[in-house]
Formats: sequence, structure tokens, C-alpha cells
Amino acid sequence: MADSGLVNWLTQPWERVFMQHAFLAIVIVGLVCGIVGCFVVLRGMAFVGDAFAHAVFPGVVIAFLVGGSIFIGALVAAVVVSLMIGVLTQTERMREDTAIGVMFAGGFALGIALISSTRSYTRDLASFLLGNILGVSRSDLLLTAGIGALVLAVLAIFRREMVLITFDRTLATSLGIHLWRYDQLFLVLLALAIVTALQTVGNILVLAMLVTPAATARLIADRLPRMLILSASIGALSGIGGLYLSYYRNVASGAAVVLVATGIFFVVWTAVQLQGPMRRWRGRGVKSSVDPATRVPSG
Amino acid sequence: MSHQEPTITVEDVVVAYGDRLALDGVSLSLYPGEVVSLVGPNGAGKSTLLKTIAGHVKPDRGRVIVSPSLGPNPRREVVYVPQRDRIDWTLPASVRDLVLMGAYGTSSRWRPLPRGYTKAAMDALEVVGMSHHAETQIGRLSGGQQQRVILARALIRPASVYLLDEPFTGVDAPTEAIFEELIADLQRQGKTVAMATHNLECARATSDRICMVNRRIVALGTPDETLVPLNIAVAYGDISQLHIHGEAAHSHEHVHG
Repeated sequence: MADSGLVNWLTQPWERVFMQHAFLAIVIVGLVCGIVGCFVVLRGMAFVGDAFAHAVFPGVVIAFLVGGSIFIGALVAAVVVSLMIGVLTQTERMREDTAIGVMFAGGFALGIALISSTRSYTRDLASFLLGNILGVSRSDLLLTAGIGALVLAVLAIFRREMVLITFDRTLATSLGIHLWRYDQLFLVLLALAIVTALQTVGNILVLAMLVTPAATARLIADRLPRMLILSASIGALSGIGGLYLSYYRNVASGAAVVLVATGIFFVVWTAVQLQGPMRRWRGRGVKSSVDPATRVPSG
Repeated sequence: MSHQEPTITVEDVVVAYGDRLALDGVSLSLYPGEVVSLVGPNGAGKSTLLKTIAGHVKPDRGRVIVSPSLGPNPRREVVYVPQRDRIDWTLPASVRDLVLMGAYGTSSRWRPLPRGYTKAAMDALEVVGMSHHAETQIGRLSGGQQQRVILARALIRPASVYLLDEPFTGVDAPTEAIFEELIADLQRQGKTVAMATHNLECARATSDRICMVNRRIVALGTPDETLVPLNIAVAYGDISQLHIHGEAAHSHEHVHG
């Protein structure tokens, strides 16, 4: 009985088509952002990821207002912002993080200004900022899957270049790898990963999908391939767990997904912190059982 | 040596970072089978000269010629071995993974790295005495071990010119001995080795020629010709920071009370 109750609990959300779309979309987003996020975390680009998520906002809004593809809108915005950051940092007095800060706040403000001119301002803004995973249509799902597959395929094809610009840029230069070109390629892939996540978790929380699963994987993985697999799995698992939480506890879906990912992070972090003391404690226990003569008599 | 064609020719190279001159009219030829040490104080332009030869830094004036006789793609015959602080050692990779990265770009992107490279990586690690650490996480290595791994990575693919940036910095005596033997071995194979170093004793022990640099070339010749007190004093500028003990030229920075 208990088993059938659990099965019912697990399968009930899947009976509705919009939930099926939502589950599939969040799994794709979890996988794609989990993998792209590994490079974001290893390259120390969390701020860049956050900035990009905000900076693509005006592109998304313009595309929405003119009835075009939000993917294309976000991509154009990402390329413009990336080039603007490149131009601004040509000035010696402008550090890259400063330029990113300027562009990210300015871009986000432009997006809000544009969307505030629409009549359904509040609803549209909330949908962009917080996501609307329950509104994922079949065509949205296909587009998300297509873009996700494209991002992963490009990463797979240029895996060695991506690894080298992450690990050792001097060696990359020695091997004739054009750093600027591959940095730009990575930013485009990052923008695409962000766009796939916009509808599911929203603009504000997309950073969590990029950073939290990868940061969790980094705590336990000593090799990049393991980190990639773990991060993608944690991303997908957080998505599924978050949707169940959202479905049964009536919590906003984007927030629920991110909270599950954050919860997994803290569980893993605590386990890693406790590993050392536990090992020492267990080592002491083994020693005392092997050699009872060394035990200190009690009483 | 001069009857041979140089593998590398540096012609009147000027490099500036902003308004600071790093190299000012440097000309130098490197020949097959010779070891040349670049010595000089901090900021003298030793690393910049190596990076310019490697093609990482574009000279503001002058040029670097890599001999076309080295092969169809002569630039690929030049390997630059960076200082170990250029690598983020906290990243998730094993020693073997890091060494294998040296072979990236040598085979098709559509296939996995050929198996031969795994053997080449193990052979290179064997040469530097690190094969037993192949599966070790790179973050667990000591400074000297890191330097050995970087050198092993340079050996994984065949090359004709090796540019070593401060290979002796922060390494222990056994590592120093391994490096000296390795450099001698490269020389026996007819490779060109140029290295930047602060260690004048290692420079003397390993090099055919020493190039004393302080933005310009102060002295260039055999160790006995070059490592004389006057040259060192000129190259290092501030004589108060030098120790020169009779025949054995020797320098290190220290604080005068």
C-alpha cells in the first residue's frame, strides 16, 4: 500500500501535459547549465554569469515586444554586451569587472524600462524575472532541447580548447589557440545556456542553475569529467526535486528548483566538512578494537 | 657553433608594456644543440624575451625568425615552459591529465587523443621522476613536483626549441639535478634550450652561453666570459644587492641593515 502510495505520489504530476513539458524542460536546463556551469565555476566567472543573465534581458524584452524569438534577442544582446565589455576594457583605467558591472546594471535597467511601457507590465516582468515553467509549450520544449543540444555539441567539439583556456592559458597560446575567439565562443554558449533557463527558472535565479550544481560537484570531484557528470546530474535532479516541491507545496517553481539545488549543496558541503573528523574518529575506534590492551580502563 | 644556421634569430627587438620598456633593441641567435641561460635582475625582461621568441608577446619593433628548416610549421617546434604560478593548481585534474594537455592540438578534434600519448605522458613523467604520481590530484603536489610536471608536459610532443621560464625557482636539490640532466639530454639530442634563471650556479653548470640581460643585452658569451663581477654589477645595476665571492660569481638580493 505504502509502495503504491509512493508511486502515485511520484506519477501524479506526470499525468498533466504541462507538467510533462515542465519536467523535460527543467531536466534539459539542469543538464546544460550544469555542464556550462562547470567552466563558469572553474574560471571564476560567477559574476560574469550573473551579469550576462541580466544583460541579455533587454534583448529578450525587445524580442518579446516585436514578437520575435527570445532566443535570438538574448543572443544578440549577449554578443553586443560582450563586445561592449571588450571595448570598455581597452581603456587602462577600466577593469573588466567594473565594465561588466556597468553593462549589467545598464542592460537590466533598459530591459525594465522597455517592458514597463507595456500594458501587462507586471505580469510580463514577473514571468521574465521569475520564470514560468508551467507555461512551457511543445514548441518551447523543442527549442530548448535544440539549443541545449547545440550548446553541448559545440562544447564537445571544442572540449580541448575549452579545457585549455580554463586550465592554462599560456599553454593554450603556445598551441596556437586564439584566446579571444574561444573566450567569445564560451560567452555565446553561456548566453545560450542562460536563455534556455530563462523560461524555467527566470532571469534572477538562472545564476543558481549555472553555479550551484557545479560548485557542489567541485566539492567532491577531483577530475573534470567526473565534475561534469556530477554537476549535470545534480542540476537535473534539483530540477525534478524542485518541481515536485512546487507541485505538492504550491511553491513558485523556479525558487523551488533553486532551493533544492542549494539544499543539495549544503548537504554535500557539510558531509565534506565532517569527513575529516569522522575519519579520525573511525580510525581511533579501529585502533581500540584491534588492541584492547591499549584501552584506558574506565572507572 | 656560428657555422650552423640558427634555429632562432632575434633581431633588434623592442617590447614596451605601456610606457615601460621591457626590452630595448635585443638581438640574439640560438643554435641547435646549445643551452643558453638568460640571467638578470627581476624585471630585466628575461621572461618577456622568452615569450617574444615563443610568439606570445608581439614586439613593438624588430622581429623573431624561427628557422624554416625546423619543419613545415616551425612555430610549433618551439615549446614555451611557463613558470608554475601561471597554472591554477586547484583545478580538478590528475598529473597525467595535465601532462596530456601538452598534446592537445596535435591530433584530430573528432577523435579521442591517440593511445600513444598516454604512453608518451608516462614516459615524460618517468624522465622527471614523477611517474608514481600520475594519478595524483595536481593540487596535492609540492612546488618542486609542480615544476617537474610542467617540464614533463613540454616533453610529451616532439619539438626542436625549448624555452624554460625560471625552471629552477623553488625546487629542491634532487629536482635541480634531474633538470640539469634533462637539459643535458635535450642538448645531446640537438635541441635548442633557452632558459631564464636567477640561479647563476645552475646557469654556469648547464649552459654553453650566458646572456646577461637588463632590458638590453649586457653581456653574451661563455659562462667564464660572462659571469664576471663587472658584468654582474652592470646587469644588476645596484651593486649593494650583490655578493660576489672571488671566482664564483654569485648574487642574491638581501637587506642591508
